[in-house]
Amino acid sequence: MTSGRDLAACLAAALNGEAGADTEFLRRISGIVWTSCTLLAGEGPEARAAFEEVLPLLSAGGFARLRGYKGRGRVETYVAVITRDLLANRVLHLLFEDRRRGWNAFERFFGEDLRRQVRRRLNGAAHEDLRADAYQELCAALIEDDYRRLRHYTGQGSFTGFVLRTADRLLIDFVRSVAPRRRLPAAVAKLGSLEQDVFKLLAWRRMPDDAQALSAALASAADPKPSANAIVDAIAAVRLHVEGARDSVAARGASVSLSAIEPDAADALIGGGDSSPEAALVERDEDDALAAAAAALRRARDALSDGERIYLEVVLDGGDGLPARDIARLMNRPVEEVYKLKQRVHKRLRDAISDDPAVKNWRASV
Amino acid sequence: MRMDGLEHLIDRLFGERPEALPSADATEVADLAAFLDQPGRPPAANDADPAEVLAAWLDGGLDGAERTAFEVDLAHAPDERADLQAARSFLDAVTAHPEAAPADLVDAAVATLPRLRGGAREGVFAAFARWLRGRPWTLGAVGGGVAVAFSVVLVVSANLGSATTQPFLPYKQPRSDAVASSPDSRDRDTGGAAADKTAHEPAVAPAVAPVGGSGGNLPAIPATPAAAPQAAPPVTSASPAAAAAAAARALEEYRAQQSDMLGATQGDEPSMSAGASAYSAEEDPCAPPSDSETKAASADKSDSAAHTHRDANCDKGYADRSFGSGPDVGTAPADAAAMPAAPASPMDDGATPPPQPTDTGPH
Repeated sequence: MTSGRDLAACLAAALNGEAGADTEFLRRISGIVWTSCTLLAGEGPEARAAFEEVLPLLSAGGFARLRGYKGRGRVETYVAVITRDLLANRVLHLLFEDRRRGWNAFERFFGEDLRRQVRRRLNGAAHEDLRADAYQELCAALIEDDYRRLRHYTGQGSFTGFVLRTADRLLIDFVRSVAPRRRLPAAVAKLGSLEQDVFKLLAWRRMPDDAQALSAALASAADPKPSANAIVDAIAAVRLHVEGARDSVAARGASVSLSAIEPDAADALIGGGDSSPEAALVERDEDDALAAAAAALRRARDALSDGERIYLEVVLDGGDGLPARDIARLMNRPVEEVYKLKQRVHKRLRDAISDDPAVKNWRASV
Repeated sequence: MRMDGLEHLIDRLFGERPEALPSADATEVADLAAFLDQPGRPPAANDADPAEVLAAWLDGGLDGAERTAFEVDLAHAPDERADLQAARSFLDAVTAHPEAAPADLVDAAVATLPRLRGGAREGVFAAFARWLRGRPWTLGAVGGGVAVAFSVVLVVSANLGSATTQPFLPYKQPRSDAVASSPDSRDRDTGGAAADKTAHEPAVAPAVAPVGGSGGNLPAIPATPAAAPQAAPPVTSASPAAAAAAAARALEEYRAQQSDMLGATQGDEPSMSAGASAYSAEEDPCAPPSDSETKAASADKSDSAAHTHRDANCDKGYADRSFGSGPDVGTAPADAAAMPAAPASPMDDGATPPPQPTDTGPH
């Protein structure tokens, strides 16, 4: 029962109450709605149940729910976005009506997004073990206390956005607590820059202590490029400290409850347990520096244009290593423009750090 | 993280020395994100349909000014950025994995269209007629009653004049002159109280149910100003009062259940684990009360009253969003002729789409 008119015209006809138009429109969007249900609500019975609930909401009142369409994009996109909103509302409804079914619906709806967030915050092979733990901890934190965190949704903004941002904050907490801010052990901090870089690669990124492998990673970090012999010597110089640092990471355990993390306890695990007065002094200096730098960064961020700011936020949201191509797609901009944004934002943030009076004062004091 | 560490992190993040280390350090990036975290700004106070704006932005359909306005919001609303990214992935997946809906489900949905369109009113009258058929002696009494009621309505209408032409405007619903001046839109553009009333008096129900504001104390969805000047489609026999009742019922159920949920949404800080979090309570008037707030409220009734006020506002916002992301029914779209043709879509008509990238997950 398909006429030759395009979908926008079909929608308009349905909204105008033309005979048969609503039936035609329903049939034509049924595939989008069904696909949305299978993607977000699950296969089989769940998809069918979601479809049977959502489609009447869409079609009620002669598709009154779609009256907002203004022709600025494709009807298909609009229908899909609206369907997604309705399915998100359905998830919210199910969560509090039937805990088990609700959670299944929640995980089906948000699971892929949450996993993507975990991958971004804990990218790379070095974090492979942590990713599974992070996802489980994230889910546990969301379920905790009868979905306490989800109950805080007030209706401002989208439920989807609320959930994902809450999840990202939880993830940030998880990352900072399980793999807390790393400081070089005092003994390593006294060594040369090559030894320090080698230590970071071995202890923090768990690279093999193979000079050839490290050489590639160090190639652009050091100028001039270190020789193989120098790298071998550096490995020998830091080997003892590397083992201690790796042990301390392992001692933190594979899973740390998001609700049970105490920053002091986590910090005690940093830096190989060096708690000497000298280390404490260094730590305090670092905290001061960090506070100053963070304040400078915030000021710099606030001075960015909206486009630059979105770029910065997307980079930070993306966690580790979001390619420019992906950023461009997320920002609906050409890759070339993203590269220009990158250069501008990078320069402005660096300038903010180097020119900020608080940072200068701190530097002058040390 | 030392000062030079932060500078190096910025370098790595922005790729001046992308090969300096295998990847930016997850903890340092998390630190930086936490330092720069900010309370989300509430959505901009406009009446646009957020779903329509989002869809248009994703399709590249916003013009310069619209796009700028959207991106200003985006720059200051982390929730919306997260939603945008998820929506992008979702749409990619929809495009990449199209499926035809099961025929039986589609047929069943088509079968319900008359009821959703206008069958409910017929059903009410049909039921009433059946009831009368079984009680012939009541016909006279009912007929007399209807005549009296009709007379009363006429007299009251004459006395109240134009003020009675929109007796059931939804709570806080802005109205554009264009919409308000349209006789057709007057018929359609009725809100919460009207829809509530229609549950009991279907004969005077609005032609189309309000999407967002048909029940209780919940506000209706504001009209969309940008859409208001557009020509309103004529009210036809296909959009009678029963459509309002049907739509209102369908939406009312969700809203009522979600409103119930809100009754229990009091608690402590919404995010972040307590110990490790670098975040503080957000300056959000709709943020839930903290533990200390809750305790203070217990001790001080005036605080409690303040919270009640805040919660009422938040509940209103919740209802707005939950069911109000759509436009008000009074803001009619352009008719078929005025509606620009959308780009061709592989999803349209169930046609087999061209091959699409499949690197995205289901959502």
